[in-house]
Amino acid sequence: MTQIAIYFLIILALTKPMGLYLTRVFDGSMSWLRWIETPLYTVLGIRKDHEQSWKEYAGSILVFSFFGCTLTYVLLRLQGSLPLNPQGFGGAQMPAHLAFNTAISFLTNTNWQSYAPESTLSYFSNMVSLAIHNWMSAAVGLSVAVALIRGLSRREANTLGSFWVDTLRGTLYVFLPLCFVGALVYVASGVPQTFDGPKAITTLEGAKQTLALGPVASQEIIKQLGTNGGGFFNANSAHPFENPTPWADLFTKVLIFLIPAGLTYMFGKMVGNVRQGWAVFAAMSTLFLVGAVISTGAETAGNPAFAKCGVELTNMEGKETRFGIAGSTLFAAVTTGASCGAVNAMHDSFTPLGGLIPLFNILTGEVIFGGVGAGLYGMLIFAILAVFIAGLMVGRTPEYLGKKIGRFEVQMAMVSVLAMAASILFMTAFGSVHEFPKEVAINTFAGSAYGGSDSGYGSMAGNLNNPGAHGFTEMLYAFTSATGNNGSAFAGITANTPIYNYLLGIAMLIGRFFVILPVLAIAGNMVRKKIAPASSGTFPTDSGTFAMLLVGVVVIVGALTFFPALALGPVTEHLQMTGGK
Amino acid sequence: MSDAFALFVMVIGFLGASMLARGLERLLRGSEDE
Repeated sequence: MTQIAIYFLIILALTKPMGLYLTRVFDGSMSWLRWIETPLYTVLGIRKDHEQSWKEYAGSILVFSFFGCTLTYVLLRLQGSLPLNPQGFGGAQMPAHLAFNTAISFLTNTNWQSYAPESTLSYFSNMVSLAIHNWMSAAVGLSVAVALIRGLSRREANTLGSFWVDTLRGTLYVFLPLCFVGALVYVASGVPQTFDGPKAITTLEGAKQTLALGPVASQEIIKQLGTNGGGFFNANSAHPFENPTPWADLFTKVLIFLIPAGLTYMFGKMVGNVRQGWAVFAAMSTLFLVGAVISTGAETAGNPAFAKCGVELTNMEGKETRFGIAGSTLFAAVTTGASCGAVNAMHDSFTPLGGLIPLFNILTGEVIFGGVGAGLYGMLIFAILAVFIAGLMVGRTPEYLGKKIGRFEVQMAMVSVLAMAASILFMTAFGSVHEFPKEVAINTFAGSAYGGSDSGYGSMAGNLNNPGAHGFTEMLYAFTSATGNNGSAFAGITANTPIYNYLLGIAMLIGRFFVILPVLAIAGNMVRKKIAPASSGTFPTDSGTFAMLLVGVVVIVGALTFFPALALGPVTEHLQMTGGK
Repeated sequence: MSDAFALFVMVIGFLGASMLARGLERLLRGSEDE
């Protein structure tokens, strides 16, 4: 618990300075990189003073995303003909369905990886094809959050700013300097940064082993800071070359929440009342701390079946001994609260309740600080719902930040909430029961459930490593992670098959654009409204009461929508475990 | 063939997103008319 408290205090201390910096970046007053920024506008043909309506803003994002996605797909498929490829990887390692999944995964800031990176991707694919999106997907999320804040704070206007200017300034002033310094910190802590190929070594026991190397530090920093989460190695942040020491582990966790936490303060500054930002911060913090404490408690308690045998054991399965229980559960709460998806322990090995928390964090819609930008705009959607519900309960006109909440805003909020739920639940149900031709559905590797089957058909459940409630959780987690644009894997599922790769890719697109587009539509409608002065009939949204109402709405919407699915998975498994089965 | 299919699904996905944006715009106009 001390670790959780220390970590939270660090985030609390960094929120205001980060928020002030972000505010100056997006109000245009930050200028120390103007000497690069101005020529870039000319080279890229960006009209700095041209502001966009919500439709233009959304159109720019769609065009930018489509070309980025297509380019990445082509580069991944052609990696065998491109430079920086000492391992000689080609299209055989990156078939069409995997390239589709990977391109969409990185475009949408999900970074779900159906493959083992060190045996699939060339350095070029890592550093160019995918790293472009590590930077740009985070910058896009940041821009959408800024556009929504402008929609809430401007009065009787028509525009939300320029997507191109916001994305450029976010990349240049936020990510570039922080990544430069952060990568050096990673190198100093022992993370490799080299273009040398893998090294063959002899272990102390005399065995031969190949150590994968590469430009890891430069990838690692944007992976965490941009809440991307896609690892250079298959073991992700459990690998000592990605996360060498407990200090590097703490640094990593701070990086993941740094910008999302700072954005809450920026929100308060931009709407002219920092208490509004702190109310959102308080709601996010409450959800985060409760989840982290429950998960840590469950892992510390372990499986009661061991206690009956006279052995008191915490649950260390799937965890690095150098991080321990709290270091692992705190990481899990951080990485799933934010839509990062990096892991330093295998969530599949957590106890049922310990594993329920990461799953539930994603099911809330990634609003517990959330992804860069995505967490804030997701939480502001819940704020609109909270204000609407509070208005219905006490008979007050629903208003947020002085602007009336109308039918359209609630419709848009519900579109995004329902699209997320439909994608997760429908795809999980479809994948659990529908029979597909075996060659597209399942891996027939030795040891898989269908490895020795003569049947030409099988459900996607054939790729699960566990039967029953735990297996169901593995599949539910996969579609939740994809739709929530988180990208962490529960592990225990082999997803590199055509049907998994296509369905998960489609889930990621739904999770990204069924939220971004309604958010921008809300911003476009709100920006034209008047700001009414607060009166005795105004429901205050900068108080602790509102923060708790917000927590309630997030939990109730999440719990009611997903409770039946959770009951089939982790809840059943917990009851089985406590029943000694 | 597999590349064509992957790119086809990608195009359909983005067309769907574009249609969603247009649908939202129509909904917004409808709510203004009321």
